[in-house]
Amino acid sequence: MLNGKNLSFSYGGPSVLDGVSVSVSPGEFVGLLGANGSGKSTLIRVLLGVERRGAGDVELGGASMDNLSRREIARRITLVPQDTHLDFAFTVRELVAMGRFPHLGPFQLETAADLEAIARALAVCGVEYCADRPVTQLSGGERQRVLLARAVAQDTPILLLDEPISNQDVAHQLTILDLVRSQVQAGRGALAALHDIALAARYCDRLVVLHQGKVAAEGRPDEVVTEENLARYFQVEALVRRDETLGHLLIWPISPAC
Amino acid sequence: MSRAAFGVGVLGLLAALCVGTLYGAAHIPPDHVFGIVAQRLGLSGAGGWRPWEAIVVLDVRLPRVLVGAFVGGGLAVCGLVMQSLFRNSLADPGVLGVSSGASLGAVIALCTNWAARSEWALPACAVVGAAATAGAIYTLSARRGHIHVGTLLLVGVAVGSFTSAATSMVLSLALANYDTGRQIVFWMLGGLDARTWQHVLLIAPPTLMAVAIAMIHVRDLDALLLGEIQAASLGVDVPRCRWRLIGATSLMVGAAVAVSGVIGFVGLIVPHMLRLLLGPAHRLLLPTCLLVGAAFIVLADLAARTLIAPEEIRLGIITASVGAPFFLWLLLKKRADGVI
Repeated sequence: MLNGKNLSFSYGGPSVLDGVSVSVSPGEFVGLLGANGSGKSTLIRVLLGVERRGAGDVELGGASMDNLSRREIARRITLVPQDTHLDFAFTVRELVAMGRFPHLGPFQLETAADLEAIARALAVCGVEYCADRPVTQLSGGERQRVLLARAVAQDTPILLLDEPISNQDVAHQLTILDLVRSQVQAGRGALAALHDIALAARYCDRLVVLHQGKVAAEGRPDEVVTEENLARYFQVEALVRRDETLGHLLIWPISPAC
Repeated sequence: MSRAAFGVGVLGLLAALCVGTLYGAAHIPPDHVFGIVAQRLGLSGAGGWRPWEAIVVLDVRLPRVLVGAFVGGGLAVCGLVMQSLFRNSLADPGVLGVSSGASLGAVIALCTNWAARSEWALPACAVVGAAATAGAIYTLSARRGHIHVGTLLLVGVAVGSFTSAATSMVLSLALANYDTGRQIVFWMLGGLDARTWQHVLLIAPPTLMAVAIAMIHVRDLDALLLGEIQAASLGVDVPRCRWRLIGATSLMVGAAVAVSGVIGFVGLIVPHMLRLLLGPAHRLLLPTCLLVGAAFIVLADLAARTLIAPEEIRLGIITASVGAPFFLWLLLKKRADGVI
């Protein structure tokens, strides 16, 4: 379980995070929402332990991150980055195998268990068919699934996802969120920074809205996604309705709210 | 494919070492060369060769070939490490300004005649120059313990230009004295002539150390190609890993400049070419770079000393004239592929 307590951070200027507390339990899918510049990416960097200069404490599975080595952290939490362009032509299998790095010593070869974890991750994320192709030749949607497969192979109790669907077409957005959902059902905790409020409301168990470096709203999707909150924290005038047939919240953005 | 490439590398290096020892400006029959080496290793008794032949093989060719192998292998590995650390396949050991710092130290040693008084003066000055430059560059680019790679490269270029200017200045002053000036220019061209076992002792430890440290970090190097955040999320202690690798490569490059002058393009071409052939995973790429870099320099040096024997072409000229066209080809190919 992930527990970030009272996190504050600045890059040297005004504070980017100001007393943020956020937690993720096993089997829980938490959506991190917020307008551009609200501090989502910074929060992810802090929770991952990449930025360690700020105030507050991050607990991973009951241990404070300050007492864990980089490798120990990487066995408890990992990141699915936004699909990025790659200059170096690793094969899909090589990239997914990197998920086992924190479990292996410098000269240790992959054990049967490691190889099985890699094969399973490739299968679960549906990228077996391109396992031996260079990642540089894949489409954006395939690459995003490969990055997810790496995190699955890493086998950490907590997954962080930084806008995993922002560059994807609609079908891939749903595929990727379904994959995350199935990982959560298997007992992992996930925290995903998302821009699509409707999809976040539909897939996540709980939503956290960041606004100017603070937690502005938090709770079940139908509590958080309201017309008032959209106007206040996303500067958008929108209609929010619940469709009883689908059982989802539907959101129509109308115009930017001034 | 992968194991085969490594095997080819091992055989290629062995062949290069043999050929480099067998041939040279002086003609010595191959059976004499093998006999001399075997006798030195205590495997056989004296044969029918002349004393000068034994001296040429044992004290001229062998140390020269070994220094070439260590310098070439070490520079290729350092080039690979730099390219991975900076996530830029056009980086090489020169980019950190370390080579030019080492050159400045060496040129000062030559110009002040320290080099004439003790044979350790030039290497010592070169290593001090490399370490001082590296230290200055890292201190200038580190901020609260973090090194921003872009800043590091820019600071490296700036400090490198400064030390090059200082080297030119020392050189232009030294040219008043014809002999010193000539010696400096010759040294700056890079070469392996008149290398002794002392040079082997000087280059072997830093090379082996740098290679060992890089081998410990093969997986970290893979992860670093994905960028700092992904590397960290895969368990790499990025700052510590960077400092270690940069420290080891600086020492290695300083030692290489000390024993052979500035030899360009090995650190660029060899890793780049092998990455195209073998892919970017370091577990295979790194040892193969070591082997191929070593073989490349041994063969380039063989060309340097035999093409117009008894005169020698400077080794730096050979590697640069192979390297520069290759570099251009790479650049044009990348442009054609739309990468830059």
